[in-house]
Amino acid sequence: MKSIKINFKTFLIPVVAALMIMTSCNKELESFPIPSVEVEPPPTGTTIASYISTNSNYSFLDTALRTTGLYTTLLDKPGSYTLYAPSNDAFKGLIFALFNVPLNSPDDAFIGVLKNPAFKSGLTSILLHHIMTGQLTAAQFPTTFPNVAYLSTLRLDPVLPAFAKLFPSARAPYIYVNNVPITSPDLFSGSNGVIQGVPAIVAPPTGTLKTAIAAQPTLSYFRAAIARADSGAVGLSRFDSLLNYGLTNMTVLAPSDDAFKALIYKLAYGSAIAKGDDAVTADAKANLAVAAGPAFLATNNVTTELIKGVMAYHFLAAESGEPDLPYQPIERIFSVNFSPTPTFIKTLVNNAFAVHPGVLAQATFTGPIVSALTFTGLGSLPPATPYSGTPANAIPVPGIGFDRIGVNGVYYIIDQVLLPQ
Amino acid sequence: MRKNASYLFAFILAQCISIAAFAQSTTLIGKVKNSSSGEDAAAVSVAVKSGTDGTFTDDKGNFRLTTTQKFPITLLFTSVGYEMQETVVNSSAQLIDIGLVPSNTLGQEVVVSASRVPQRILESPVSVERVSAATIRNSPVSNFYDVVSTLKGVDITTSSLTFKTPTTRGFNSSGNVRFNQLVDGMDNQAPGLNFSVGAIIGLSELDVDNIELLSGASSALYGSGGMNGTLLMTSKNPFKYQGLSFLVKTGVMHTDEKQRDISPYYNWNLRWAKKMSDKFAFKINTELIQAKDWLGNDQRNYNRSAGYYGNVKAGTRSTDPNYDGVNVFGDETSVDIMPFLKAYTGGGAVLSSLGYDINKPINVSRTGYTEKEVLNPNTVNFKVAASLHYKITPKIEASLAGYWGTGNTIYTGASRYNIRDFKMGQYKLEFNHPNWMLRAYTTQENAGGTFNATVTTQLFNESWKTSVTGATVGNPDPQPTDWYVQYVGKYLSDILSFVPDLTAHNNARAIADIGRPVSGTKAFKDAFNTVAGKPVPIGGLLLDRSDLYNIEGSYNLTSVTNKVADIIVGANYKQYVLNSQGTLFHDEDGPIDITEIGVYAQATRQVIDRLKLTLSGRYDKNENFEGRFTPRATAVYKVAKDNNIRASFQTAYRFPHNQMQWIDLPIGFDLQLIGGNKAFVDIYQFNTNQVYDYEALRKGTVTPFTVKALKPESLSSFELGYKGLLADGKLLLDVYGYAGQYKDFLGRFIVVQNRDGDPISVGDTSAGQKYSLPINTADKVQTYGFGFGLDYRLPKNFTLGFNAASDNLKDVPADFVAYFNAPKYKVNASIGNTGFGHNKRLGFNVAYRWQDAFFYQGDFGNGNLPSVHTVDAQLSFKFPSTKSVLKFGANNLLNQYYYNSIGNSQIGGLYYVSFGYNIY
Repeated sequence: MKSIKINFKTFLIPVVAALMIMTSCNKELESFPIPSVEVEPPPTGTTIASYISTNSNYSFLDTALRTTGLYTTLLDKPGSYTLYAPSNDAFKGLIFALFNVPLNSPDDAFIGVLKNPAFKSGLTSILLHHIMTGQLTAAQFPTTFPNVAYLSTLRLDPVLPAFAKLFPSARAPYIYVNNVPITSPDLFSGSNGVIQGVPAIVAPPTGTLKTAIAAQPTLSYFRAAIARADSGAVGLSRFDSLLNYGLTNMTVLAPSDDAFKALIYKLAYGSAIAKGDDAVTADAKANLAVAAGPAFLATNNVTTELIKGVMAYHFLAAESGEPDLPYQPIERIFSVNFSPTPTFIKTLVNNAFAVHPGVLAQATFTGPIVSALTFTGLGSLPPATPYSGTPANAIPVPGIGFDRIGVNGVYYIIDQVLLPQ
Repeated sequence: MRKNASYLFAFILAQCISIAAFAQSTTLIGKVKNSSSGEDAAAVSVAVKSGTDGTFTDDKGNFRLTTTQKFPITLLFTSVGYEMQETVVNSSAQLIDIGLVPSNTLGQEVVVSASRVPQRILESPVSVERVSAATIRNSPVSNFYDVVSTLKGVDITTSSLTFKTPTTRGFNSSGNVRFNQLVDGMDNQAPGLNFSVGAIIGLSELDVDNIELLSGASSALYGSGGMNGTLLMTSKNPFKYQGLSFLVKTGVMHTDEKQRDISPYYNWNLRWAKKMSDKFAFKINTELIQAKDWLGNDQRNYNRSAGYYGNVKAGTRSTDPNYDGVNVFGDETSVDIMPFLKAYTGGGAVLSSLGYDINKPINVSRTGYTEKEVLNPNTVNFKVAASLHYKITPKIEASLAGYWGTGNTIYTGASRYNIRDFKMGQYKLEFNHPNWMLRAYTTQENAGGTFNATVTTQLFNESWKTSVTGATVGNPDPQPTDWYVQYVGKYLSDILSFVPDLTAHNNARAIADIGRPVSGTKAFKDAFNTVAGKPVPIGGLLLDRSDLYNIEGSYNLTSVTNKVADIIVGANYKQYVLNSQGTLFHDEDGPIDITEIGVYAQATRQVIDRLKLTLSGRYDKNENFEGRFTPRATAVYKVAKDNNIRASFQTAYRFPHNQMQWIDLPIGFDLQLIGGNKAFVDIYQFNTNQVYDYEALRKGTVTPFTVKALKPESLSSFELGYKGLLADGKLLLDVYGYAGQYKDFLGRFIVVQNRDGDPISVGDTSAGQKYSLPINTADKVQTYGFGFGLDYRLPKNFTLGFNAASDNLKDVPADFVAYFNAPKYKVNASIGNTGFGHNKRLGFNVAYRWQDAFFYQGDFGNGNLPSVHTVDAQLSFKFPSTKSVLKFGANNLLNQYYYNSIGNSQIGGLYYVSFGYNIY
């Protein structure tokens, strides 16, 4: 079956802009306890909404559900949901991140924010992202990779059935939704669904990867590189279209501006030396190239083919089964899905060079959480023995980890440009 | 061909001018009347006994006969329906006054079609039925053509009020390609559309002399196609039937307003024929029919995905998201929304969790329009015909005739076709001599604004809202403006909100249908007509300007060979010129010619006193197929006077018709309907890019398909019959039984090819190029049946008729769709009187027809047809002085709607009053 390609250009993303700065929440994420206590099987016949009202660890969630009306309009009605219930601490982290309310403030301070009408719309979006259609008990979390997509009730478009996706997964001994571990599994099973407790907010997407990347101040070179790679290309074959294509699940490595500057310096310096310049002149020329800013990538000093090849190397890909385009960016790899042992992952480069080994990726785990994430390219500048170069490190979102979520995938900001050869 | 014909015409004219010799002659004048009713007897043959001179009485019963014979002259007066009478005339001063005695004997009619020579119907070697002008006059039918349906063994498929297709012995369909129809010797098939136009073009009621029906195989005499019978309609010769006549019928239909408002029916006929001299006569005919047609109104749900095995099934628009009504159009567009659902849900896990099987398609059809909303069911049929007749010698009659008709009607083929402004003309030059015949004619067709209801409505739906954007093969690019995207949008968000599935479907349809044009509005009509006016495949219009040219002749050698046998030989040459401007046939580079030639011979010998044997053979060659020889052997054994047993062995065949040879039409996005001509092997590179059995591939088996040359389909059949007069000539009994075997059935088969010439894979069932190509199936099927008919003449002009027939198919291979389409049993019964009451001026007829229920199979649809009962009746009153008839008639008197093929119009009651002037 041919894939149905739907262009999301016309989608409206009603998620509030405030969510884009969801940083530094959930400090405790790295140190939360792994549950060891069996949760009592909850009584059936009651709704998940009424259960939340009875558990004091989730009183902020109860307040939030009542304030937004979702208590009565959704969770107290017949249905079949999985509620990823953020604990009170999770809400504190959110409110601290968004409104700078200190974590040690009295509960009323946080409840005041949750009841603030100005926050109602944003809060509704966040809550809807935690309510998943369909019931999954902990034992039913899929173990497969790629991750299985489920739909949250957060609708992204008023006409089209575009809902923010959630990816419940089991990676023994842990279970996750997206990159967030479930710390209170099977908290409750009621008439209209099950509850899985999470210690942090499951960050909702703020738009497609294109809009997310466009909003990143440290990715101006990356955007310029995309524009250069796309020059002369049309339609859906452009990287820009791909990043805006709403129905796939991509994993993109986005080198930071500093990474590009370092690469440009090396390129210009090497080129000057090759022409016979001395080290001082070469250094001056290289500094000039860097000073040109992202515009350098639009000049004749680099070729479109070179940029295109380098960009293709930053789109992780998997076999599609379609002969025309055997490798496609169709997997959403959360940080917790990378292997602790170095593993090659194919990229879009494999469409041109089928035998290319790809990018070497490695995750370092602390408990259920990834504490370091590295990617190594096949080539480096100046040329060195393959793989002997220093790996690129993923730059974390303070407090939340490395995963940067879009409607159509996840991206990581890395501190080096990866070279395919 | 055309050029040759004009040379021939010039030559004949030269012959005419040079004939001038006259002998000393005598002129006799007289008048013939019906001795019983006193009315003038028209068209009575007046001949000099032991001579060649003869004439006919005119519409006033008068005759004027010029002869070179010496007195006393014996005149012989003959006419069907009267006893023969002789009179001796002694002087020309005598005004000859004759009263002919009406005869009430049966079986005296003469038929020509059964052996190409005139013979009494009682002595015909094969089953033949004859309808005379008198039968039509006394019949309750509103249109003369309908009288065929009352004949023994006949099945009718009624596409609409004016489009009816008869057949015998099974295999009926709206466009029957196994049944030939000839009008005054001309094949009246529309050459490009491949259906006989019946009475739409051709004769009008007042001009019908007789209709003969040959049941069963008849290729041995009439060539390709007549596997299930041949209908021959013959018009009145203006030398014999003179005068001005008219017939005005006015009726009402839809009296119960079940389908549409009560509406009038008009059928006006005019005939004028005049003998200007013993040498020259002419006639002009015209007929106009106007009515609000019956409607195809079957809104049952149809399972179209089963293809050849489709059937009606349960469900309505509001209970089946994939509803496809039989007579509802546009809802044939059906798309599986599961890929959309999977795409929007990132693979469908949430659907599984809600209980949906994501490996099963969810097909959804577009919202259709009923037939009433898209077709114009206002039937108009206008025809005009004229002919000039000139007797070059007393024995050689030349005639130049033209028949032209136009109209709107509805026809059922693979779809319902609205035939709009269809025009067809037939033009003929013919020479007749008692011993030979030469005939050249052409058929000129113009399909006008004819469009296909299904395709047009589907494309109309696309025109107001695209189903799925860019749905060319393999690369759909759905947009939020697409019907299916909007549908899926609402449907998915509803089921994710736990709205019940069917409600979600109906809510989704309501959203996707926003902006749907309302039928009947000007916007709707304009938009619809735009699509209907564009040729297939971008619209629904059938562009067709195909023509046929034919020349044929025969010679009766009997005068030379009668010591051995009576021998007739003949030949014909036929050329089709297909011209669809690339819209239907593979003729974008110019018209395609198809040439056929045929020769035949027949020898008849009275072997012993009571036994007559006839051997006939015919050889036909179509340029695209191997030659075909079809023999026929018949025997007639005279058991007693007017009692004959007949036996015959016949073969019949048909060449694949023109569309089956040359059609080249894309259907939907990935199926190409192609012809069987070998040219297509190169056109679509079947030699270098192998094609495969599509159905097998769908099931996972790779089976290469070799394109074989098409063969004609053939039939061999055996018949035994008896026809005789019993009960002192009051009872005519006809009985027959037959058995036949069909082989090399022509059908269609779907193959698939990889688009790039790569090895085939299962993926090509969706991504490959599919072709539907004609094939001969290896299966053989047997048919058998029987029938009998009784005609009984009671005293006081009462008549009783009864006939029954049975047609059966056996040895049908499993999964074989034969399109047999014949009820197991059918019965006609009638009672009538041709003259009773005051001065025997009243007449009546009541006819009842019943046919059994059966399972109908057609290109448009399959399904069970309920049994049909109809009663037709008429009561008439004659005014002998002007030969006028006032008639009250009813077709389907009880107004019980019936239909005789899936998807066809449902026929209700038609009640009319007619007034005919100078009817004879």
